[in-house]
Amino acid sequence: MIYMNNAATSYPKPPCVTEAVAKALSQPPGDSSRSGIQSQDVFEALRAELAFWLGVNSSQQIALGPNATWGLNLGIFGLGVTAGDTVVSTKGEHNSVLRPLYRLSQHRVRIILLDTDATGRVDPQVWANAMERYRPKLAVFTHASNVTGAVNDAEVLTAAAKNAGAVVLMDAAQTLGCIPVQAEAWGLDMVAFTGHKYLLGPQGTGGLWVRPGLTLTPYLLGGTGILSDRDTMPAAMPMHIEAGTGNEPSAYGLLAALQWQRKHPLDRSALEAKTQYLSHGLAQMGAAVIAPAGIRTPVVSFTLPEIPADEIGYLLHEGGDIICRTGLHCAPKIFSCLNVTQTVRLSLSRFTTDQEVDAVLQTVEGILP
Amino acid sequence: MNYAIKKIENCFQNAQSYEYALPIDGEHFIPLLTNWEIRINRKLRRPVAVAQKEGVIIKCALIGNAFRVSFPQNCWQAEKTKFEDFLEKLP
Repeated sequence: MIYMNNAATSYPKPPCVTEAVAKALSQPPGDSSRSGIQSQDVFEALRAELAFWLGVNSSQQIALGPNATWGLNLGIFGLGVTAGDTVVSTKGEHNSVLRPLYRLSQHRVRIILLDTDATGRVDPQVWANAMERYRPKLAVFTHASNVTGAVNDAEVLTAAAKNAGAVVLMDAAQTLGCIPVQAEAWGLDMVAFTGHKYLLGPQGTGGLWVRPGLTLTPYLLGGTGILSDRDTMPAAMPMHIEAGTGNEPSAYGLLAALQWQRKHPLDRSALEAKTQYLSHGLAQMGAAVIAPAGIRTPVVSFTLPEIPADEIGYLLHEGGDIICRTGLHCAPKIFSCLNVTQTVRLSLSRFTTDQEVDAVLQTVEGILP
Repeated sequence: MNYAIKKIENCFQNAQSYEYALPIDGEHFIPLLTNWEIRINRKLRRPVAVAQKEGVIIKCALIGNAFRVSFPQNCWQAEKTKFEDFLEKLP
């Protein structure tokens, strides 16, 4: 089997991830020790490690949850956007941003979705013009398109939004662990992330970093294990927005993955070379490949003439044992900007081999009439 | 012919795709489709067949017994019933 669906969930994981999850499941849960001085708090260790990846000093501002969707919902609904406010975002967003925004629009919040270019990237000038024109309360953008891999200039987009007085939320689901993120240096207010893609952790891990000084209204309310005699959520982060028992086994897994990645840094140029090789190879055999210039994630989206995307995906899977994704990739709005109705998406990882890329190219060649 | 069926979801709310598990493989099932437009791709590691008729599309691996069937949106119920009648009449 050749796994080319890493933009959805990365596979394989480093072996230490499996070992860490198994070990955590075979021992008493951490909260049984009531946070004594000698107890290991995996969530605190994980926050400290994630602070490195997010480029922040404030690890206590990282709330941990099941995925980026959770973090995005917390950020979007926790900011207190109300009727008459404006939110500016892009057509390149995942449904994890779009659907919360549609909910806000039902409450008379004005939602502006900006076009991307034909490769899925947000034009900084289009973004800056929209910021000046609409002066939004909230600006939301994805760091990279999950459909095309085009990485946005987060620092420039953030500066334009901040200049217009917006709070800025970035979706780093497609980049953290693959493309450097510097949340504090770039001036971001919030960053949502997931652990199961390029951070190489298990599914069920993710979260939201919130800049110190920005207070969200908790979107989920519940137990925090502390201050249980109060009627409201604790005021201090991360407990303020982090209700309920955490996914401790997966937190151990993600922590192990991050520590492993620190010891084995990603060779971005090698991964980029494989991505380009695949992209060029597909284009040479007549595929319509969406090829973003500049910085990109290891994603290649394409179509073939006269063969529907779902049929290509079926043929790759059944005929070549290649796992990929076809369709809208949960980002339905971007397709009007890309001038296609759907795509086949191949997404590589640091573990993808040259032989696997060649096997994919050979299989696609075999699909062509 | 007995079969098991499961609806296959995809990105499109109106899509009507189902997977049928049959007691025979694609190599033996495809010849039973008379008057269908059939394409067999033997260039792939596992040969795959795609059959089409009146908007119904059947995809299968020749060595597998799972058949992916898409029915046209505007008359999917009638076409699905017709296809299942056809299956039931097979020995």
